[in-house]
Amino acid sequence: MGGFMKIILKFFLVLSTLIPLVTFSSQVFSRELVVWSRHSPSQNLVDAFNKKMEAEGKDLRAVNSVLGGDFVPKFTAALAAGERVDVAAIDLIYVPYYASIGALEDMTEFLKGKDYYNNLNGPMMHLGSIDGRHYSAPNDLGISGFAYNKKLLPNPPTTWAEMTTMCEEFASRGKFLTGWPTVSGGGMIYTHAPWGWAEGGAHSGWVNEDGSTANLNDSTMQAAFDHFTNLQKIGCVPKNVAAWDWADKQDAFLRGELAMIGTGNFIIGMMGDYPDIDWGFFAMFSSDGTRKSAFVGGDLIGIPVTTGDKEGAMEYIEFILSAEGQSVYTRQNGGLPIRSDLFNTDPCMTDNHRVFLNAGDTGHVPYTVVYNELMEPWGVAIQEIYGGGNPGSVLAKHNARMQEIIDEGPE
Amino acid sequence: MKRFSSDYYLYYLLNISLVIIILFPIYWTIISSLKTPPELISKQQTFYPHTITFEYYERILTYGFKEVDESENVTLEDGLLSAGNIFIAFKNSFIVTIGTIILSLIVSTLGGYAFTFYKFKFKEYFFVFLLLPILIPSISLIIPIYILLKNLNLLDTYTALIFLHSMSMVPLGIFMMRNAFSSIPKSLREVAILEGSNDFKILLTVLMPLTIPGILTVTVFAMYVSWNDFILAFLFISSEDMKMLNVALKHIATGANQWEMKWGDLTAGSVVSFIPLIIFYAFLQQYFVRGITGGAVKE
Amino acid sequence: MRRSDKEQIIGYLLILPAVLLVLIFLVYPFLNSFYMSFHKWPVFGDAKFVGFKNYIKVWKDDQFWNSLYFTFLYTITVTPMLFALAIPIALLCNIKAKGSTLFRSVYFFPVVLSFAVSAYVWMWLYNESNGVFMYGLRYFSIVSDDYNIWLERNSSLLAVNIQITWKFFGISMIILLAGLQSISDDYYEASKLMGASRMQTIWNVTLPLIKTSIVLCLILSIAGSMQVYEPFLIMTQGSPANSTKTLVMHIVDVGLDYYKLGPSAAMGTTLMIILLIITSLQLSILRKDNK
Repeated sequence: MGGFMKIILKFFLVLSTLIPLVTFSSQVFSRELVVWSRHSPSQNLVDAFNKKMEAEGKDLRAVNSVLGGDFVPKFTAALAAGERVDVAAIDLIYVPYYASIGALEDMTEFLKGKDYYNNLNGPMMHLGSIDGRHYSAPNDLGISGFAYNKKLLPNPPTTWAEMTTMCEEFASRGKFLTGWPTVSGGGMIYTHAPWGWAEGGAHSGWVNEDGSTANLNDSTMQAAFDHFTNLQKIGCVPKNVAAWDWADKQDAFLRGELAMIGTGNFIIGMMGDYPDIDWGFFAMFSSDGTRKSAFVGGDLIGIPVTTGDKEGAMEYIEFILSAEGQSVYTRQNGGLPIRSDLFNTDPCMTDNHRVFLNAGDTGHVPYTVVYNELMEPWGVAIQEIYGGGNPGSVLAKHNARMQEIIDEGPE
Repeated sequence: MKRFSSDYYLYYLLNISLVIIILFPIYWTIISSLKTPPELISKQQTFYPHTITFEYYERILTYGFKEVDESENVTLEDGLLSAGNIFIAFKNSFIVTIGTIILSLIVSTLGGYAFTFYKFKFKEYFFVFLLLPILIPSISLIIPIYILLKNLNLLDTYTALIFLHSMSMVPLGIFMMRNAFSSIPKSLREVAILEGSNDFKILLTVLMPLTIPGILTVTVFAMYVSWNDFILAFLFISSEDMKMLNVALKHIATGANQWEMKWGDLTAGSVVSFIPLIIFYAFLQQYFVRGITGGAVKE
Repeated sequence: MRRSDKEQIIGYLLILPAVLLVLIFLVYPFLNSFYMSFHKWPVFGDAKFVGFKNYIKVWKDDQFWNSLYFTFLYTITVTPMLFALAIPIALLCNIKAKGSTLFRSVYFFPVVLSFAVSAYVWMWLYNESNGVFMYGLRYFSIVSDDYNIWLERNSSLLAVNIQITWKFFGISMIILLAGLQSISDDYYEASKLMGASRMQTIWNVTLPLIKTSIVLCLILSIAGSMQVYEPFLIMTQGSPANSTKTLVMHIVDVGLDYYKLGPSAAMGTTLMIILLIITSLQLSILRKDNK
């Protein structure tokens, strides 16, 4: 008995020393906005909003939850259960679905009443709209592009033929020109598909404008894959690129092994950590180099119908869209504004930022209500292609599967 | 085993090599967390950090504490864990784990006691019924559980996770405790009853001290179930100050744009999260392992 | 009140907490999910009864079968790996010697590590260019210079299995050790008197005596492996080409990422039936043993 009691005692002794590691005290406000975001930088926006509310003496505070890469399952479950969420900053690609099932509040009048209405990012607005009604607004922008290391590649390629010549030259020296994250479907649509879009125009090579037809086997997308499989054959691409994830190619670039990689504007924030690299950026281009394209990514912000405070949510969104709100984001190294009128006036925009902003002008983002499901055939297709499959037949096979998914639609 | 016999050397040789193998990943994590970014991703492996840096620790430990300065140029990566930080996440996981241990112990001790010493109708059926948590993966029931928790007002609470984790501990807990109780001679309880003690008092003062091995086994398993859960902790907890450790570490690892692998932050976060555990474990390891196995009563 | 009546009531009261927990947090949601599996169930709006349509959809879903196959493959490969490490170490730990407590604690330590830590640390070890594990394999020329472990399904599976074995063998070890410690020394002495060698003793005396513990480990390992989710979610994300996507991963994807709650519920029910069959087979072994 004595031994038993001693164990219990010791147990609780240790416990009591560990539990109060952090004591937490927070003031309770009568109006708390539940904000769900995908990205962590959103916290800075929430902090700035709360600071502003405090300064204005308002009893409204936003409480942020950062859900990271698993935002969609969590948000879907919350909607199905009717959990209260006041503001959701959703990866833009998923918004067409949530808008189509009526999960988001209509904010057309609110947005149209703003004098910057016409300056809001076009592709982003398109994804959040159905029949001219707007169900979401742009929150932050993440445009894809290429980074290169001037030490290895003094001048970046400007046409596909030039890229092939460089590739041959690199291969002859046993060096690598580029690499890509084959196993990351999301990473590939972000940094690989735009080559096809630059070649064939916005709605070529994934789905058409309204997302009703799959066109993955579009000849221009095929041309892009042919080009990159050719580079792979020439030998300026690491052998295991078929098993590479986002971090693999980024680490290889940061080590100075790859001369150029696909990435997004956020990488500007990492420049300081790797002073050994002489950084440069360029946009993805068509085979003749005349047209540019990019994946216009980022988050859209909307008000779920499960909100408990629509007015408060509007106030929060208004702050995000304001020049003040956007500056919180652009002041972070690598952030881009979602309003074109701020492109030139924002003091944080450098030439590096402008490479991405300009690419975004002619950039694209596919519109579909079944994005996640389409990622499956897409992901398998790229893995098969860079695993040695023939681009033409692989794309045709998986395009058929994509069309099946589109025809079936969500429940 | 005689000292300095061949068996003696073999015993220590085997154990020490196993210890080195088992602990190597831990060692590697610790030294990785101290390397500079270029050394960390360098192809040339270094078995100790050539230049020691605490930058990852600095970043990890100041998450959620650092105010963003108006004039400062911060990167998108900053404020990663936002309002939550690793200490809060650790505390949350700790509370849930302790709660699960306590609730599991209560539930399985009472249940094991009943199944060993009491006769009641449909006893066997109830025993089989309580094995269900092994058979039904709760991950496949996300939506119904989500709705249930919402209706019970338990979303975003420790209680929800404690209940769910304890539920999945029921089969093992009752099985273990029934085994533990059935190794006690029935006569012991009968004598106590004749002396006029009531059931509860007998359980607490006579029987439970004899089942310490069982109790500790249940403790260890409850800890393991609760401490390792990721998906339930992710789905049913939303706010930052309630975030669980596994979820927080996943967010640290994948960085701000969710595709990255922030090896430095991750290894530093791991070290921060397991240092308190090592301390806790060092205190209790003799009870954990010896207690479980050095049973006072033979089966 | 008769004594037996009182005993019955107390008996029910004692198991009530356990029954309530299972009833509220498992059986009730399961019945809901079962109901869902016969309905077209949009995220928003009214459900519509569709009979067995969801089950037919699951039957026709290639990925469901691929995932089921892979989950079986994982289960039958990881279970022997766990035992191969847990049984010898349990036997080793059963020897009383100076430092044995310390050794045991070290072997159990990976279990108390947070799961995400373990998965990511191993990914770090397996990394093609920076991973020390691959560095070791290259150093001893076991693999070629540009080998990547995630390139193929089988090597990916092996990589995850090693991580799982490292992380969880401690659990099996402890269960087995508890069984070992309950063996009376008389058995060993008898065996010694009969002139049995050490291996013979282990094989003929020790292992049969801890059969209950072994079956318990087996049940836990198989039921747990069939529900595997997080390791592959973090370490392979189903790649290459969805060949390492487990059944639970697919269930979660279909339900929450593809918004098809009905078919997802139907898959959950199917998985439960499979587990029910496997586990009752194992339990019948245990029961025969106890009689």
